[in-house]
Amino acid sequence: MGKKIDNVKIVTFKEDYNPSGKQVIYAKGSEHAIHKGVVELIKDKIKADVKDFDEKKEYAKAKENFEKAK
Amino acid sequence: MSVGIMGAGSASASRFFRAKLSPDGGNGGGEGEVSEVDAIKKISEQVEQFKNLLGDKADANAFKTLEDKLTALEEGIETMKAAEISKAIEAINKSNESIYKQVVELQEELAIGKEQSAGKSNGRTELIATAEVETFVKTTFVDGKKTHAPAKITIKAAETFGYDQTFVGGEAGTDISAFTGRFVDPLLNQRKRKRNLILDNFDIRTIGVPRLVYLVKVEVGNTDPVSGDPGGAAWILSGQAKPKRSFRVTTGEVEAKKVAIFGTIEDKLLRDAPSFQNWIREDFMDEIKEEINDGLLNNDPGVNDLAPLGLKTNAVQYSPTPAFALNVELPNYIDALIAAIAAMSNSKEQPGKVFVSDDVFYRIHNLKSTDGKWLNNNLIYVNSLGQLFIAGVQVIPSDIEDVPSTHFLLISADLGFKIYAYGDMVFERGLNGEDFREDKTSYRGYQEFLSYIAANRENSVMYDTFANVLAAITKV
Repeated sequence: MGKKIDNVKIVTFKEDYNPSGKQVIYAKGSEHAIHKGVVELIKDKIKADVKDFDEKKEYAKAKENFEKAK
Repeated sequence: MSVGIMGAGSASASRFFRAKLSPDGGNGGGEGEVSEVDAIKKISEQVEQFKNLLGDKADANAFKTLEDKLTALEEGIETMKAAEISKAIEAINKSNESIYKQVVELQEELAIGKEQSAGKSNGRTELIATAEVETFVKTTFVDGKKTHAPAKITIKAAETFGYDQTFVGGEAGTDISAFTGRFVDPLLNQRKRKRNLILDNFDIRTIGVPRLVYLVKVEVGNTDPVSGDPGGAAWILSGQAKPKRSFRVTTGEVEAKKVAIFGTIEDKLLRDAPSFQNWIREDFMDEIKEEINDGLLNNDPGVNDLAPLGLKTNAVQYSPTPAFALNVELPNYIDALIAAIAAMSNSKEQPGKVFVSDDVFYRIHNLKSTDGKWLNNNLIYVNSLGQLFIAGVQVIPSDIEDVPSTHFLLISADLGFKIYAYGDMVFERGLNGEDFREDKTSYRGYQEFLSYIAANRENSVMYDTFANVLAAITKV
């Protein structure tokens, strides 16, 4: 496990994120793994659910998918 | 007196004799002449031959008359007067000629029948029909004189030498390639495989043992028992106690992970298609290399502990830097990559290469400013080898399976991610299980790899989405 996991936040957007008005960066309903520094930077400008990366859950899911794909 | 012998003139008929009274009236003995009795005997024999040739079609009365005449002449020749003999000979010649004509006609009929039956069996046709010739002659010549009546003969043209006519098939058909030959292109056409991001871009050293221990410097100490500060150099007064410094060393350990492939082939197939072994070798090598790339790029040993650590697994994400924080107007790919390069530089790693998908690579080439000009300045350029550089970092196109269009993979020049191969790649053949009994041969290929990245070098690999960088830099 590296730094990536520690710093990851899982963000689910409730609205499109279009800061420039010309380019949607995150679409409504989409889920993104974003560095906590970026989340900190834009948290006031987005409508989204922000969660910590659930390492246990994500690993269990990844293992299950891997076993299925075998 | 003698009877002369004359050739018949027919190529197909048996030799035709014509009885003739010798002009000298003597007993013959001249060159080419025989006695009347011998001549009559020969004519009798000839008549018998004609009779056999004609068979059922022979005119019995004509033969009877001729035979009677011959018998009478033979029996009475000694007592007959010359005039009587001459008359008898004339009559015999006439009858014989008539029979000979029958023989010629019969032979002609047979020849025509033969031609017709031959035409039916092989599909050939006559160039000129016999009936047409006969009609033409009859119309053109009447009583030995040429007429002016219109007449024509149609001559059929010879057939063209085409595939359908020339290569006549039997029941099983004709294998035309037996005449024309064929060329087998030795190239085995196969799907184009993706590039190998790992094997094409990373140095891999080979070691001779399956276990690797790496050393990690940990900068902690007991200089400050609370913070674990290892201490460091400081400016001091002469004579002043020097600042303490200490650090610790730990080790990490990785084991070789094996990637392998196996297949069995029938010996008969190997014998009949000698190229097959090369194809198997090429295919197995390609498969192994693809799997090596996938494992060393993507694998997380926490999910699949049979494969080594992948490059992306411990990669850091983009984290904002003060210079690129919500302050870039309408950022594009170039802005995002420059921000990422800046972030890596900020973390003390020297950016070396950035991998983007092929489409992003080419999109960068045609990005334009708001006034329609291509974005081409000192920071973004293509060298004489066609390599693209942004802010001095080479941008490398990658297959979309390795780096999706939504992502970029940035690595430092002095990469912290290390890859080792334990031994060379192996491809060999042998007998497996019942192979010997069942006339089969088995092939196997394998290689072993070890990889790691020390925790304090994780910043040397950055893997993130363009969206995350754009979100952090776009001016709000």
